[in-house]
Amino acid sequence: MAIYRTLKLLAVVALLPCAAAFTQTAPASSPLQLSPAFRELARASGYIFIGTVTSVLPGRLNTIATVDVTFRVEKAYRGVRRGQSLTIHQWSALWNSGQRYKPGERVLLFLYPQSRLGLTSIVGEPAGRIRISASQFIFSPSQYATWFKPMSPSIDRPQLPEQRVGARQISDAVLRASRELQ
Amino acid sequence: MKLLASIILLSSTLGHAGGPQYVAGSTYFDPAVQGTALAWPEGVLNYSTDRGDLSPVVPGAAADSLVATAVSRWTSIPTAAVSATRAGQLAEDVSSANVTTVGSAVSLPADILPSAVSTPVAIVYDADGKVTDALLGTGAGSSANCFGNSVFGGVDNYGTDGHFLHALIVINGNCAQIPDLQYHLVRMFGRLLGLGWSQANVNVFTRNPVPAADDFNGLPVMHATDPISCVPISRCYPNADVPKTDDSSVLTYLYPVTSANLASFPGKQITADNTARIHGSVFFTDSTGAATQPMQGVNVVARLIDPSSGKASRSVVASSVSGFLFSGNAGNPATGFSDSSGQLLTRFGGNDTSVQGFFDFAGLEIPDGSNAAQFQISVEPIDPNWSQFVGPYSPNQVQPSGAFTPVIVTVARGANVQQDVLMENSALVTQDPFPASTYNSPVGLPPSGDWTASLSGYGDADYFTFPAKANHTLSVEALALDASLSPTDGKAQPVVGMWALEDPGTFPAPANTPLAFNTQSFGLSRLDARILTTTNFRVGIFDYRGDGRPDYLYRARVFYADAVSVSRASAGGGTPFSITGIGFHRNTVCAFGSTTAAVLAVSASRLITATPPARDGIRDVTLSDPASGSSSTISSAVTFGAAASDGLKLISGAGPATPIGSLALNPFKVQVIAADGSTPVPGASVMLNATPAVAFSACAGASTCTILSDDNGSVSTRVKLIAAGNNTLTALLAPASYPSPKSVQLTLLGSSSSLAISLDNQQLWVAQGATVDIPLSARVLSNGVPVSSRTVEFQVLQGTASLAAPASVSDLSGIASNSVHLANLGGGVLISACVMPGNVPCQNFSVTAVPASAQSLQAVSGTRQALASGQTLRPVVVRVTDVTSPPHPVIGATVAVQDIVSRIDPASDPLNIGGILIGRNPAPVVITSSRFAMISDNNGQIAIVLSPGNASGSVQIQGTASAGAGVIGFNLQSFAQ
Repeated sequence: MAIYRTLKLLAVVALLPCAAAFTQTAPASSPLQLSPAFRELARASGYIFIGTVTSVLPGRLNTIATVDVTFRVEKAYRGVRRGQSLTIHQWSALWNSGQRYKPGERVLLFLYPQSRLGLTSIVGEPAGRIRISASQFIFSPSQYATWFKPMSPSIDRPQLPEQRVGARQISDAVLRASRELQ
Repeated sequence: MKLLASIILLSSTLGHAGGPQYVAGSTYFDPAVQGTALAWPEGVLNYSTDRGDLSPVVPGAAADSLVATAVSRWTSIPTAAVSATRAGQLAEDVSSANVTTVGSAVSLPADILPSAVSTPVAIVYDADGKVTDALLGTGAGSSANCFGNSVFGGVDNYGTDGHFLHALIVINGNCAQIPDLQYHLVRMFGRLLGLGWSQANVNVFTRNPVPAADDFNGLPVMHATDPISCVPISRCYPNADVPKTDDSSVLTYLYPVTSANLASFPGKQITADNTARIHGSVFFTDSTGAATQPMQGVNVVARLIDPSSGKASRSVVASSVSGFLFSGNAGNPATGFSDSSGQLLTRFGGNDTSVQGFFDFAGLEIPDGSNAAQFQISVEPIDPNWSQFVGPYSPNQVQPSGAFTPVIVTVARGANVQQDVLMENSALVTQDPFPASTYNSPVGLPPSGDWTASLSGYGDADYFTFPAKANHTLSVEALALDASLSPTDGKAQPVVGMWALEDPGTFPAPANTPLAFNTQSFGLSRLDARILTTTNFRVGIFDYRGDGRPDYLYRARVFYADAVSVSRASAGGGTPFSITGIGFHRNTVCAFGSTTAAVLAVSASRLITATPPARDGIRDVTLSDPASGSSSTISSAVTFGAAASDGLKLISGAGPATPIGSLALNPFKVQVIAADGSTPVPGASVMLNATPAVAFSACAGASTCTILSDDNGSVSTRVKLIAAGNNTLTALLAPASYPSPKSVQLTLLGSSSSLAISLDNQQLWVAQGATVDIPLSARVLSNGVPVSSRTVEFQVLQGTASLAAPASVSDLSGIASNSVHLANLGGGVLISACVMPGNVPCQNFSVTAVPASAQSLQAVSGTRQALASGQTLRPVVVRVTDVTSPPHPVIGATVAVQDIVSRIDPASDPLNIGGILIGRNPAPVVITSSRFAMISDNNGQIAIVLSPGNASGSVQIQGTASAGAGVIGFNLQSFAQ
């Protein structure tokens, strides 16, 4: 097979598709007020990090089938170290409910602390998983409302299309929430 | 029937909705059920509930009642043959006591495992949230997380006959008292029955248009997403847990009541007799409006026409996503045909292309008291934000192509009507600018490396082949385009795979883009690959989902730097340099190592630049596109200045003892030579130093400096000795780059006396027949100190020459200046210079006549130049020498120069005419030419100043300088920007 091993994949950057044809970027200077829901999300999290999915494999903890997802941690906020290779075990049934990963994806993740069975999952899905395209974090309207708006019936307000928020604003938000919870 | 032994990993393609959630695929399932929706056998749901309580305040019996109420929302639909029965209790109270670890082993009760098909639906009452904690993560079972975690689970086993075998539902007791538990439970049962998420009245979320009350009334229970602010859910919509027309339509499709099963569902109505069915396919159309390829992923909406108002109802609405029975992601050769967990993507979703655009409203309710009704059939895109997992396409949605004017369809009770949807002005099939290709028959790359094409027709792929070399990197871009050729993420999801051409078929490709849109540029996928072996390669462009439609346009490019024009460049910069390859654009950036160089001209296949200054050593050459991020690197492509293997050779310098304060007889001259021992290396860094200190003329009188070898590889300097005794001169080759640099040394003896005379140009070589005036300088010194006001007498001892004066007086520098006139030099001349009075000490000037036949030429500088127009060309400097070894510069020699100024087209690419590549090397347009002669100066050199004159555009000046047997060519290029 050596003859076919003539190619080597180089590092491939940001790996998430953009979801909407039209986007709106939050002005860099606009103050983003954290919502109580986001604080709850951060409070419940045992792991908060930005990472790239390096592998997704079926696993098993005895009778429980799992999906074992490994991340390369690029920015660590809680429970992990930068540069760490983190493998989580997720109950496989959650794959069906949308907690899916693809190698190469870059995400900001909020995960519950590992359970006594060794399992974890996304906190407040979908708000606990923000996809990243280049240096921007892409929020669905629902995710954006979870993070940044006061809790109120958003159904009464016009819904904005997809939001893109800069890395600095996100980093500030996560750090602010982490500090408040310490 | 085969059991799946473990909890199934339902692949990412299973998000079939706007219809059933699960459709049997072409693998795993029995062929007979391929393309059919998965459901519970006979429509019977037997569930078993936990033996424990749901919470301290909701005992088991009350929880059972809650469950029964929730499932009855579905079983009460009169035209759906579905029933639910509480078969009994589980064998235990499922809790942290039995969802636990035993030693290092994880343990769950056997009757809730996927394999427990005798308890097909297990419902766990997680009284304290600890089971939720265990399965989802610590804290997940807290009451603070009820929005997402109050009810979870779902189908976890199914048989090859297309029926569900087992499901598990966990109800978090910490959420038992939230008002939305019933709502979440109803949605969970909807999923469990096989309903997918759907989209109807999405304006409830988007507010476009602003929703009215009927929009909320028609919102299906199985809408995909709730805003987190909708707590309780009644804040956002009424009767949220009551199935609507859309929900019942799908349930009826999955579980129709027929005459055969009616007896098992007392009180229900035969579906076909009591509802109407409208079905059809969505199609692209051709230029005549006729149907062509089916169009998948379009949300087809049926709205009852309100008999009283004649308007389309917002509350009685059903939806069906076209192609819901067809695979939404079958994989592709680049990224493979399995999901991340290794399951074949073809496990779910049919492969019969005749249903690729199929939609089905199987159970449209006819209003009470009527035997017929009208429905408006319209289409809309699936909202990627609010309906991300609706419909077959995965990942992500596809925008429809074209438009469809809503139609009104009249149906009678029991009717079965076909109504196809022909999308007007949808994308037309276009011809790719290259022949059709397959994996085994790839076509050659378009000569420019760029192309725009489409992935049209299901499973279409474009394969190309091209050669590439080891130690190169390259990028392959694929940009998804919409109908206006603007980047999009709502059409094709292009992915790229690359194989060695010999590879008989490795899937996924050895190099691939793992996902579409993996770059910072919107709509752009890019493969970056390193070539390890020189061979031919195959590159393929695919849709990530294996799809293909006329509106899947893409623009691709192979960005590959293949070869460089020269492998050596001057450390001083300015070496003309070209790179050939494919896919270059006007914005292509060129860098040597980390240093960027200005691009002088670029075409798709060739880039011309001039090297920047750089330290001696090997550099990679990288071309890049800052817009797309593509790059191509040729490793170790060029050596700046000296290579590690180059050598240094002493050419001249040895001589007799030299009075301190005067110039040594011979210049200290070294030559940088390549490893072959003969090829001169220009532009290499040579450091000169001396112990004790001397004054090097090349160092402006300093004792050390670094200078570059000239176009002949030489470094030459006159040396003024300062100290008596041995002086060690050293030349080091690029010591800043190499820790153990090559070097040569020379020892000169400095002498000291009370009175000495030395001559600056004691030995001269002059062209035979030349008539020249040559300055003569004699230094009068005393122990190295200049002696002024001393008379030096000059006298022609041999040959024919005329001195300007018989004697001169030394100045403050001790220099007595004179000159000699040689007229039509016929032979050698000897001239003495003696300090007066007493004619002691004396030294002699010698002039050697060099016939033309014994003359040669050396390039000094400027023979190869590439500049942007407007920049000034440096003179072309050549030196006339004799043919001795070492050669000596010849004064007064005649050098014949001829040059041609012509216009060039640096950006000409090959033409592709009918698939035949024709290289274009257009004859240059000669603007002007000239011939002239120059006389070598007192250093034996001529400096030819050339200019393109008034010529516009890119211009080249080619020519030669010749003297005796020596010819030096030059080529200067000036590129219009």
